[in-house]
Amino acid sequence: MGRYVIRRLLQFIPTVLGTMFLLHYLTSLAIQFSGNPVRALFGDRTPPPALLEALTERLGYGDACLDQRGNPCFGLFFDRLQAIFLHFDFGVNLRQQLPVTQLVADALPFTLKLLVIAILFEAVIGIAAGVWAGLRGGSFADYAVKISTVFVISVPIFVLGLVVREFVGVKFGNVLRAQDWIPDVISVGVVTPGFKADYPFASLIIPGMVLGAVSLATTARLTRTSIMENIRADYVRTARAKGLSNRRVIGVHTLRNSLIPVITFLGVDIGAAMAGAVVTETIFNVPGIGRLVTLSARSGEAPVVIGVVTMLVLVVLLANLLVDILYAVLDPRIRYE
Amino acid sequence: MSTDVNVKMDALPGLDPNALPLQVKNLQVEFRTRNGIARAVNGVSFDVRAGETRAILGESGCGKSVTAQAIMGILDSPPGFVTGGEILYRGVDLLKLSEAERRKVRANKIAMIFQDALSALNPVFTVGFQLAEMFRKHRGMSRQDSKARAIELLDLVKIPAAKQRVNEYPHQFSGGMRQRVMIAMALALDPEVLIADEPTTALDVTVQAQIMALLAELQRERNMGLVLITHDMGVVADVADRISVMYAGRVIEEAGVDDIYASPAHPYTKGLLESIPRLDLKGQELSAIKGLPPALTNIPPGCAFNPRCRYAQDVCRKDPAPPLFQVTPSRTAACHFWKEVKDDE
Repeated sequence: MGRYVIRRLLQFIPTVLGTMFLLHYLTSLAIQFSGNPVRALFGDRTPPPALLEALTERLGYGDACLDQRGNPCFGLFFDRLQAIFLHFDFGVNLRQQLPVTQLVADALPFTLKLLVIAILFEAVIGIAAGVWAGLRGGSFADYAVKISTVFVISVPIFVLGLVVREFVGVKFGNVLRAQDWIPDVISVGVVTPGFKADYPFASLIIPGMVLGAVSLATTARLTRTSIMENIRADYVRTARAKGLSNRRVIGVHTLRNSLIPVITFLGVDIGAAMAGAVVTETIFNVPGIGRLVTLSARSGEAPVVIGVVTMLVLVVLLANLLVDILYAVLDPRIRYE
Repeated sequence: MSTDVNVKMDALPGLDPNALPLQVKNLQVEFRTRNGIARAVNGVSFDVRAGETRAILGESGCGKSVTAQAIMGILDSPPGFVTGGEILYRGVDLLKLSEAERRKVRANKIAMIFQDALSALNPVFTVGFQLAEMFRKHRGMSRQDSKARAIELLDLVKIPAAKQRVNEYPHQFSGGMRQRVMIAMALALDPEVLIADEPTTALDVTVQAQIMALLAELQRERNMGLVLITHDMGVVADVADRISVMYAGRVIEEAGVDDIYASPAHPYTKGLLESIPRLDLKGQELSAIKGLPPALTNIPPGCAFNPRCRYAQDVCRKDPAPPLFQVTPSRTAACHFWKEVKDDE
């Protein structure tokens, strides 16, 4: 197991470097084709050429290769790698010239909270609904879960987000806010069209549920199928023949086996949820990593995009590694050598 | 889970310690499927005395395993339903008990082992956990005590290095060792009857003999009734006391093992015996019963065996099916021509 983990950690190196180069090349191309992003700082005014040049140089956009369309800018890439890995210097953003590390540190808690809400929501409700439907195959409960999950899976997250913001956050929220007896935490905090700094946790609940909704449907269906398969397994019959209570036959002997594929899915889904967070945070105006990436990609701030996405890649890789280890804990037949 | 410990076995209504440990009377089981109703078990009766081995013999799909599952109360339901008959444990009809009482009879009084021990053991729990669970849930023992008992059980079924192996998973055991674990699990609570559903089918021949010897030894030590479900005539000859031969959901012959081997009184039993390879007939073609057993949704009228039977006359092709005729005071056969079959060489 130890050797396996070390090998996996070593595999991170090419993955991270590859991602960084891809990001570097994409952001360089963006600058080469649409011009120096530093000019955006001056708005409509035309800056004195000397000032613009000095500022461009200082903010790290001065490399000559950024003027040549299609140039992969290897020199700039190695300078960046050197700064990041030797000095832990990811660069600064344009507007406030804050270090990227600090921008990430400020934004990360919001995204983490959002992800935790989303994953908890999809794991708890998804698994519960899946077990419920799986144990009653062909019944009303089963069809209810099957049909409702198809609806959720077919709606893209940006549509779902906008619809929820409009009808739950605004319309339903207005009704609640008109009632005096409902506490503000609920009417202003939870049922909100966007993030509220006064309610840093409550106002993330609905965005988190939107983020988890699609995966919740997948989790429920996966659990359902898995339970239906395992409930007919020979070892479940053995458990019954052992005179164990129904609760133990289902809760211990069936569930443990059924959850193996579900856990795998949830692990992989952490990465997908990161991508979903970009959309959800933009819709609900959450000042998290996703919005940070969106905004800096729009304004062409290459160091911010590279820094943030690299950190996200690391988080996803670590999450996947954790899931693989958890997988071996759940299923003793799997041994990593 | 506390109810597990609290239901008292003595409290079973009508329990008679002198009655037989297992008596099945006119058992009926049907499967309600989309393609119609399959009568998997159609009036099966047999009994087992303490210390006796009752073999139930028949081809695949004749209802042997369904009978066993009905006795244990672990039929997949739906589609399977017990529609009639009685299953008596020492005079108590198990079919009339509540689910909680029924559960107490399982494993405590009547236990079962299955054909394929790899799929019958849970792959994600250690063998020790699966054994100790019996003592923790049925006897309310602590984790430590129950683990000690699990090691004793592995010793009992002669698994070497039981102390280490108790912490291993089923996939780390060989086929024969896995079946030993199954036996240990079934014997954990000292049942009075053990149902073995093709316990050696998935094993190779030398291991088969070891497992059968182990079963016979444990049965003798504990004076336990054994219901041995099998299609292997060779296994039966060695260990069985009495034999019930099943065909298409019915018992078609019932007799002591010596009687059956000396002079079968039903053409099907005769066919089964003739299909055993024999050393003294080396080089000759192996005789087999022609045709296939009928689909349970479409059993022919009259005797279910008539399309494959060389003795069949018109009376065999008409309902009702032949009843069990008394061949001698201790044996029966469901054939109109049992005399001819028995005397035929």
